[in-house]
Parts: sequence; C-alpha cells; structure tokens
Amino acid sequence: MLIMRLWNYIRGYVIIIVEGYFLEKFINICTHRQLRLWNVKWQKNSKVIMKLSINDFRMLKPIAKRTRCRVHLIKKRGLPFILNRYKSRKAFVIGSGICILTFFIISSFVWDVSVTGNNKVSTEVIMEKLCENGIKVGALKYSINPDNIVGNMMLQLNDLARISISLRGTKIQVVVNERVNPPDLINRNVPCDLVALKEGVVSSIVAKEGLEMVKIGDTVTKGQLLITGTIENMKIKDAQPLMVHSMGSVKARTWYEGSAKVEQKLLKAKRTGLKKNKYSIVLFTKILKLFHSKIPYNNSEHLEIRKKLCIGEYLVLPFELIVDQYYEYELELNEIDIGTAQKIASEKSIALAQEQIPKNAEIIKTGISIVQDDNGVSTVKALIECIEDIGVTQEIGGR
Amino acid sequence: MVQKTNKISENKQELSRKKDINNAPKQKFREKFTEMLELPKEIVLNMPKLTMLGNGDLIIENYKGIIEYDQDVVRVNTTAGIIKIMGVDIYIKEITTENIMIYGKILSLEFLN
Repeated sequence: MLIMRLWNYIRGYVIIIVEGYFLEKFINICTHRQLRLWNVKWQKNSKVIMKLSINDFRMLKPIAKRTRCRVHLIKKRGLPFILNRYKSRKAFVIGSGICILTFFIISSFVWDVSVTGNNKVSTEVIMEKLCENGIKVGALKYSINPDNIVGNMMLQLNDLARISISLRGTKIQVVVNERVNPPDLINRNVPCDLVALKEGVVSSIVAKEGLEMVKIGDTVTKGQLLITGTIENMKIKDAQPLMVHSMGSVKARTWYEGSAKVEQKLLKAKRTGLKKNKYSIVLFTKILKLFHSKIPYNNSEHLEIRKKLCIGEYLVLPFELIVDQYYEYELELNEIDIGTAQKIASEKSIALAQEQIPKNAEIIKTGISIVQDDNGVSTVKALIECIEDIGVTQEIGGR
Repeated sequence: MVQKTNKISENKQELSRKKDINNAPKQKFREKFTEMLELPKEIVLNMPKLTMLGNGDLIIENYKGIIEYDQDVVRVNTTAGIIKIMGVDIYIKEITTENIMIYGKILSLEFLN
C-alpha cells in the first residue's frame, strides 16, 4: 500500500525494539488501546522490532510498565522529524525563502525584448515604439497587455502588415511582417502612355493597346515615348484623337558597368595573436566593468560577445556577461602577381555591376576588359548586358 | 477447612459445567438460526474470517488476541479456537483491534480446540 506508506511518512513514525517476556501481552494491550502497529518482526532473544506512529509512541510508556517490557527507540522517520531538524537552522530556512521570493520577483519583469522579421523598418524604430507602449527591459510583466499594444503598434507604424507580441517567461518576442506596398497603378480608364524607364536598345515591342512609337533596334533614352495612348484619327484630321490606356511590353537591351583597379600591392590586416579580454557584467540595466584597463595595442579589432543567463529558453534572467575581445593586428603589404590581381579586380567589378541590375532583368552577356592608362595603372571594366522590361506607364498630360 | 474449600471448588466447577450445558444449546440455536437465514456468520457468530493468498499472506479478521509470538510460530486466539501458524520468516505486517496480517512463507495452519 503505497498511499498508506506515504501517509505514514507524512505523519511520521518511529521504529522501536521491545524487549521482555510478555511480548504477546504487550502487543495485545497495544491493539486494545487502538494503537496501530505494523511490521512487527521477531528478533533474537525475545525481542520484537516494530513500527508505530509518533502519537501512538507517546501512549506506550504505561503499557511497557505494565508488561515489564523495555522499549528502545531505534529510528525516527518521516516529515515531522525533518522539519524539526530545520527548525534550528533558521538562517538556512530564511535564506531559501528569500531566494525563492527574489526568483519570483525577478521573473515577474521583462528582461529580454527581441524583434524579428523586419527588413526595412529598423529595429530601433520598433523598439522605440514598443518602449512608448510600455514594453522595455525592466517593465513589469503583469502591466503588459499584448493585445492592446499590438493594436497601438499597428496604428503607429504604417509599414507593418502584422505584428505579434508574445510574452514567454521573461522574454518578449516581437515578430513583425512588413507591408509590401502595392505598385502605383493607374486606373484602367485613365488614358496613358508607355515611356522608357532607362536607356537601352529595343529588342522587342508588343503593344496590346496604343500605338508603337519605336521599332526594334532603336536606341531609346530615359523618358522616351514607347507606346502612345493618343491615337489620331487618320481619316478625319480635325477630329478629337482617341485616348486609350496603352498597354504592352517593351523589352530592351541594357548595359551595366562596373570597374575596379588592378592592385598588385595589397594591404592586409593580420592578427598577431595577442588578445585582451575585458569583462563586464550587466545587472538588471546597470553595466559593471570588471578590471578594465587601457588597450596596449595600436591597431586592434574589437569583438563583443554577450552571454545572457537564462533558465531554459524563455526564462531570461537580468544577468549578462559581456566579453570585449581586442585582437591586435598588423598591416602587411603583400605583393601578388598580375594574374591573381586581375582576377580579384574583375570579380570586384562584376560584383559592382551586378549590384545595379534590377531583379527582373535577364543577364545575357558578361564582358570584361582591361584598360591601362598612361601612368601604368590598369583598371578592369565589367560590362553586363541584360534584357529587361523598360516600359513604364505615365498618364497623358500628367507628371 | 480443607474440605470446605474443596466443596467450594467443586461447587464452582459444577456451576461452570452447568453454564456450559446452558450455553451449548444457545450457541447451537444461534448457529442454526443464522444458517437458516443465511446471515454472515462472521458478524452474527463473531467467527474469524481468514483470507489467504497462496502461502504468503494471511489476514485474520475478528480475532481475539495473540497468544504466542515466537520465531516461525504465531498462535492467534479466535472464537473458533486457537489458530497456530507455522512458517519461515513470518512476521506480523499489520495488527489492529479487528484484524491481523501475517506475511512470510507459511508452512502450516492448525486449529487447536
């Protein structure tokens, strides 16, 4: 009976040895007086070992006297004895109580705010708005109502499509989704033209509505009319021209350039292997610096490592260790041969050119040319040819 | 004086014998009555109820008291006589006013009248 044993343990019991000639009498009297005995085991030399509860043990004395038995207490077991032991250790009990209390107090504050999912809207802006709404490090957890704040945030920040604030442990996780602005569409009924977005050579032109103004192979400049929405009446010259909302696709070859110098002398930073660590501890919101001294290096690289103390994933505690690592480095001048220098320069130039290419463009050709000027400095030029849609609608008479 | 005391003791014995004679039919009547009405005997006649699980655990309800408790021997007094239990490493698991539980390897169970 597990429950019975557990109950006995909670109530507390003693193990005793009874010694004497009238053990049977002793047991009989005990049972008659409603004392509950268990695990009564016969020992050598007319001794009996048994267990009984604390309250029953107090009533044992007269019975032992009457039956002329001697009772020896062997062991005390159970919760009351353990509690009694800790009664004398007051400092320990108080300390553990304070420990639990401080833990509860600390865990009722917010100690970590993280924002994820933002690209365009900076984290600082979101943090600032959160701060205005009461979410900040050190705020009381119970004063935060995520639903209300979500509503406020949506009103205050226009660029967000959705925001979710979840409070877990002492951590607040803010997940935002940014709004993708719809393209400025011109109403279907408004007459408009199609003009060139950038320079290029027209490679294909299809007009679904409106009149084509350029031919394949024409070079167009920025803003040039490609498809017009103003259609003149051919038969009656004086009549009002027909105004349509021109549509179509105009694809053109475009070029993107990037250039980089070929440098044979390369300045390189090299770590010398010397390192200095600075430790600081963040307690709540205060930073305590530990043994900070000046950095003895002329050139050094700084690396910050932050370690937060947390229990599990969500219970972040307001203790943080910051390790500032300073690595000394030396500048080294490296000579490299022309081939690798050109390779590096060409890669750089291509990367520069590719930065300018819009997403929807299709790369056709990549050309690299090396030009040497009078001073002997050679530069690499990368020319990337693309085909892209350059047509943009524009209202007639507007803009 | 000696004769007198003898007489008194004889008288006592006679009295007790008479009591037995008086008691016996009463007991028999009770037994018959409970049997006729199919009443539980352990309640009406205060008979001991023995529950045994294999040769391991023995529970005796409605016992009167233990007479002997020694190594490997337990004698329990009941209304149906003395029950002598012998076994190896037997011990009283729990004992209350109504029932007694004997655990261990029980080898024999005897009724002594």
